Amino acid sequence: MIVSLFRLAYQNLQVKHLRFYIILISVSIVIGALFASSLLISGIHHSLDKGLSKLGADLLVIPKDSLVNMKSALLTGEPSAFYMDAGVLEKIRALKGVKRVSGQIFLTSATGECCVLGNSFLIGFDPSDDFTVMPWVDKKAENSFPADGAIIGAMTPWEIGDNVKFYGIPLTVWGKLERTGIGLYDNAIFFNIQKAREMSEYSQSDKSIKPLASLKGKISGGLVQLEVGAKIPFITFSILKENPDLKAITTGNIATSARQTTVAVFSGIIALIVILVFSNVLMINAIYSAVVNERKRELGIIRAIGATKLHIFKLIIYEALLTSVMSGFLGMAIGGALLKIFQRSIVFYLRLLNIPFMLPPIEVMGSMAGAAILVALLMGISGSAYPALIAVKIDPHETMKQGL
Amino acid sequence: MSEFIETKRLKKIYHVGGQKVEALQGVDLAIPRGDFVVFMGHSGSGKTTLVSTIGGLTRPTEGSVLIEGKDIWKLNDKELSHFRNRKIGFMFQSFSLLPTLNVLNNVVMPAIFGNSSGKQASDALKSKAILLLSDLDMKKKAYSFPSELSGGEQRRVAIARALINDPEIILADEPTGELDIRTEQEVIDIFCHINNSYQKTLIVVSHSLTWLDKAKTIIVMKEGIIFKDLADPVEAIMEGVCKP
Repeated sequence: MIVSLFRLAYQNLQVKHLRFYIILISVSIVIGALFASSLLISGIHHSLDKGLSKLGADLLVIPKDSLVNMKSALLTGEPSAFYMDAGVLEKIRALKGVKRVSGQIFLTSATGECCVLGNSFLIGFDPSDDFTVMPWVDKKAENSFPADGAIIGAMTPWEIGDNVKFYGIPLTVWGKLERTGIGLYDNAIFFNIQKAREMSEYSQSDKSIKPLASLKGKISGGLVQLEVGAKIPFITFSILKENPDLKAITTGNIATSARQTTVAVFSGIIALIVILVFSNVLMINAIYSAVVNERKRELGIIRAIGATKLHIFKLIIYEALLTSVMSGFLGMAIGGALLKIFQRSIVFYLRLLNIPFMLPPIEVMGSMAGAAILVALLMGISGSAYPALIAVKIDPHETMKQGL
Repeated sequence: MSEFIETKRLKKIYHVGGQKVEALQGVDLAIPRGDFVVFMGHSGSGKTTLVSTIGGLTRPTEGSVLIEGKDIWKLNDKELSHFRNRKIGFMFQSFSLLPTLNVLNNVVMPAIFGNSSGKQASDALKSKAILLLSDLDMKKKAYSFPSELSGGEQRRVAIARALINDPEIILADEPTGELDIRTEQEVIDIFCHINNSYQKTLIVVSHSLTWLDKAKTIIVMKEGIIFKDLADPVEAIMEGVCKP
């Protein structure tokens, strides 16, 4: 194969191994950190967008003083239990601008029940007015939703057709939801609200288990969907005016809150990555300045035999670009591998912070990878541009004067 | 009719440590096509500066360098680089080969900066390089690296590289420096061969007297001017012709 300027640049990299490896490792670390952080942040946003859009509700109406529980229930699937009078649903339904209202009852499964690790989030919903669960069933049995049917989150251990029992009430898994990263959907078990009330009654009759609160005429919260054009603040004001013991929160607020927590968690990491990017650019600059200085003779010869200033500039830039691209790919491999290895710990940590997470779609990951390579390329170009400009000023006459 | 290579009132002034050094003091020179010129003189006499000014490597402070009647120092950087690439084959002292490239790639390297591209041009270039290496008895070492070659072999490769673009002028600065007498003689014979067989104009800078009976023209330089003392007995040697 006949040499080209690009190949010459590639072969030059093989001369000073140590410098090549220093840049390779250093830039890889930065790109790895950048890629992993981008995936995490993007995964959180993706999960919030996907999960909260599936919620389908504009407002959540819950008892006052239960905001923190509701957020953790929604975002991470942390089992929560709080109750209010079911009659409020009718009052809300009657308000102008309200399209649909659906009530739900939240229960916590009893510790040690069959097939449940820790506590599971049990949610009773009303299939007759539901608009937040049934539309998002990913896989389901052929029959219509039965009275003793259950719809399970993607992260629960059961499959369609499995029989489960909570508080003495048997249920058959009828459908499974698509994974969203939002705990409410991924970890919960949904069933008819009537079954939730039966579980409450059973728990009070069976002395071996901790009794649930009496749920007759109670719900945990109401999911409210507004008419097109209805003003959320106006409806919120109307609901709270009629029901001072309630609290209305918007799904947008929940997402904003989670995003703010994400920013707080990752801002330090992002700042560190920015500092690392700049320090790496300076390091590349220092290394390539030394490289140019050491290779004055060689560059002078190349100039003498016909290379233009642009050829010399390209040669140095190509060397830096090749190193940067290799570092970019290596960094992504390292970042991706670390993310995979520590995914469980990371997700656990994020859940403690009420932050949902699921890996973004492949096309998003592809653009993240492209962006990471682009950053690596920019680091290479900006680090080597000044040394390359110095290189083009090398006087080829020095080559002859120095007896080269 | 103008000469092939001409310099007119060529001056080069360097400023070293605040002092003005006149490396060339108005040199007028004419070299006909096909000549074999050897510049001799003490270190600092200006011979390397003169040759690199003719080769388009050092811009003169004053005066002009005409190649086929065209002032090369009126060309821009791209045109001048192209001129060096197509018209001149350079050969430097030692260590002028790139250590990361094998012999074949060192030879074809000037073509990277020319306009040849594509597989056909690449194949033709490779064939030409192999032919040149055969002519210089270096074909067997085509895929060796410079570190695996002797000093004489490295000079042969440098000669092949200088010839790859078929330039009309070969400029060589101390091409036999650091070589033993036998190898030096071999290299000088190759230069004679290039001058006779390839009809190239050779311009050589050297301290070695071994060139004296091979070159067609000997030019002695002293303090930035061409030294001409016809009464000097060396004058007879200056008139020596190349023996094929």
